[in-house]
Amino acid sequence: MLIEHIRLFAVAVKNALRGPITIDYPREARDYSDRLRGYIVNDKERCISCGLCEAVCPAKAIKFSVGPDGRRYPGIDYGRCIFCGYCVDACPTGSLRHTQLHEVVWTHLNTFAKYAEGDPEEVDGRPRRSLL
Amino acid sequence: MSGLAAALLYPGITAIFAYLLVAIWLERKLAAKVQWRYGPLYVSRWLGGLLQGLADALKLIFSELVVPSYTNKALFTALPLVVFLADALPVMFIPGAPDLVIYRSHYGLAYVLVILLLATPAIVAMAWVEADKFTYIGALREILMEAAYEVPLALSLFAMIILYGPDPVQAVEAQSIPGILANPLAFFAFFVSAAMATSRFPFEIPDADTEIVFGPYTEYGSTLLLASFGANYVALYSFSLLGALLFLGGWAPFGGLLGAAVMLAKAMLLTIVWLILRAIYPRLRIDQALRLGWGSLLAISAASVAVSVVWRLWLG
Repeated sequence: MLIEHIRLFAVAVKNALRGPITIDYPREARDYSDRLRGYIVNDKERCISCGLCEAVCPAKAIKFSVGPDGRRYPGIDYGRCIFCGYCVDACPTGSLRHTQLHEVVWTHLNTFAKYAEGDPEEVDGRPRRSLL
Repeated sequence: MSGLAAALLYPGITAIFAYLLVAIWLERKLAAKVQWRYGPLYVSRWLGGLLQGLADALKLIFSELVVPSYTNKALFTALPLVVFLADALPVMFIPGAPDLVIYRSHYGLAYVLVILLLATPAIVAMAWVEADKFTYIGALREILMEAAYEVPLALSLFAMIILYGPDPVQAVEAQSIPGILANPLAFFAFFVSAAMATSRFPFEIPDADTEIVFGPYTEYGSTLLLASFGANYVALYSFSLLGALLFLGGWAPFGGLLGAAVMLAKAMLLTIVWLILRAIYPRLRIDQALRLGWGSLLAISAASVAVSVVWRLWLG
């Protein structure tokens, strides 16, 4: 009976010494694998404006609009995007790709739906920590 | 002069509020560590989140105070302060160091016991005035719990009074070996019944927030919530000082300022054990707690009195 209570305390102390498995959130980031389907960016050098991504998108999130150089580029409406990755798979030149980012804040509603104005910064300086 | 210093600094008002801040932070932090989390960290990161309690208090103070229309408004606002006072008053008779006592009385320990047991009627009155079904259930549980812990608490303190006499200052001088070694049964009964009295975790039954919202504190918000719920931790402060005094040797082996620090350290050690219970035990049912209080705890505390009597007869 008493042994059980002592064991309870021992487990508590052991767990307390183990250290947290949660991350110190805004300062640290969880390290997911490289295959994370995060926010999608478009490399305008390689984009051939073929429209396959728009055609394949099941959520109808991709719309083309004219860029400053007169060519048309895809823009993703993240209000609709389901991060399925079909557009990245369909892209013939590999200009569309996923990033590791999964938490991005835009200060204006219109920026993220346009072709490139809303591209998020890819690197943040936060330390990354895996789950286990 | 030393009485004034004791009242204003330690073990008086300043120490009480500092203890409130530290104890609440420590409780959250300890539970977080055991559960593999960080705990409060955002406010005052350089202190490990210590000032989170202060931020919470500020937020509560500036939130709206809602007084239900059907209650007696004067009693509704006064009773949390009465509860706070009843939990803080025992500190008046507990010395923090040899000459650092607010009111020196030769029957200090008896006064402390009586005042500690008076806190529950105040909580019950508070719950009655709030007139809410959850507060009624909470008040009922509070009464039942008091019935379960007050006899073991009184007996365990009585055992120590038999050993050291009712004067808290002399109780330290009379301890050639710490009370916890002289009478471990009394310490155990005191520890468990104090956990019941301050509704620490396995006995967090009166204000079980998953069952009856917040028990006797349900209708309170803003500053009155601070006063009524903070009273729990003030009671814990009283109990930990009392435990350090009677069972851990008080300020011995030092005196003066160093003695005060030693006593506070011992009180904090007791506090930590009480607080970490939150992360260890699940909540008992009321009948389980009552069976414990009226059964084994009562037997242990009665045995502790017998141990003290034997010590007394043997030592003369």
